[in-house]
Amino acid sequence: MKAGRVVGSVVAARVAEGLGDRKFLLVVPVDEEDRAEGDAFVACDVVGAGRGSRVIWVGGKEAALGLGRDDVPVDAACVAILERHGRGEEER
Amino acid sequence: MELGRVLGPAPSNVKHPALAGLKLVFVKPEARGRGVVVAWDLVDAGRGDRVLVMREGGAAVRLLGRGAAPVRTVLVANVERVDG
Repeated sequence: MKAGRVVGSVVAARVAEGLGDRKFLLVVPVDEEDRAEGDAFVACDVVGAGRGSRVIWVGGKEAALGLGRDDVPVDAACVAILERHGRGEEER
Repeated sequence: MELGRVLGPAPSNVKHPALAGLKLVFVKPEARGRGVVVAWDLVDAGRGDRVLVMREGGAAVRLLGRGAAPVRTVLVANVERVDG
C-alpha cells in the first residue's frame, strides 16, 4: 500500500462488465512528505475520496479485493483516506 | 489503471488458443516514457479513443475464464473526460 493525492477524476463513457458505476480517480503517488513521486494513474475509489483527498491506495491484484471481489478488472484502488500526512508525529 | 490512446488494431493469425477471438489493440500510454502496449479491448474502442488500461494479469485471466491464459493488459474503460 502507498500514499497518494487525488488530483482529479475520470469520467468513463463505457466500462468493462464487472466495473459497474465505479468512480475513477486520478491519483499522484506521494512520499512521506506529500511530494509527488511518479506519474499520475487512475484508481477505483471505495471510500468516497475526492479531489484533494490524501489517500492510501493499493495496487495489483489486491485492488480488486478492495472492491470485494477477485475478478474485477482493476489494478489500483483507493482504500483509505489519510487524516494526516507525514511521519514521526505522535498520535494524540 | 493508466490513461492512454488507442493507436489501432493488433491483428494476428497465429496465436495461443486462449487468445482466439479476442480483440487486441495497440495503446500508447499518456505518461511519458511508457512504451506502447498491446491490450485486450473490452469496450470496443476505436483508433484515437482515450482509454483506461488495466495491467493486472490475474484479473485479466479470471475475467477471460479460459484457464491459464497469457493475457495481462486490458482496456477496461472508454474515457469521456478527465476533471481536475
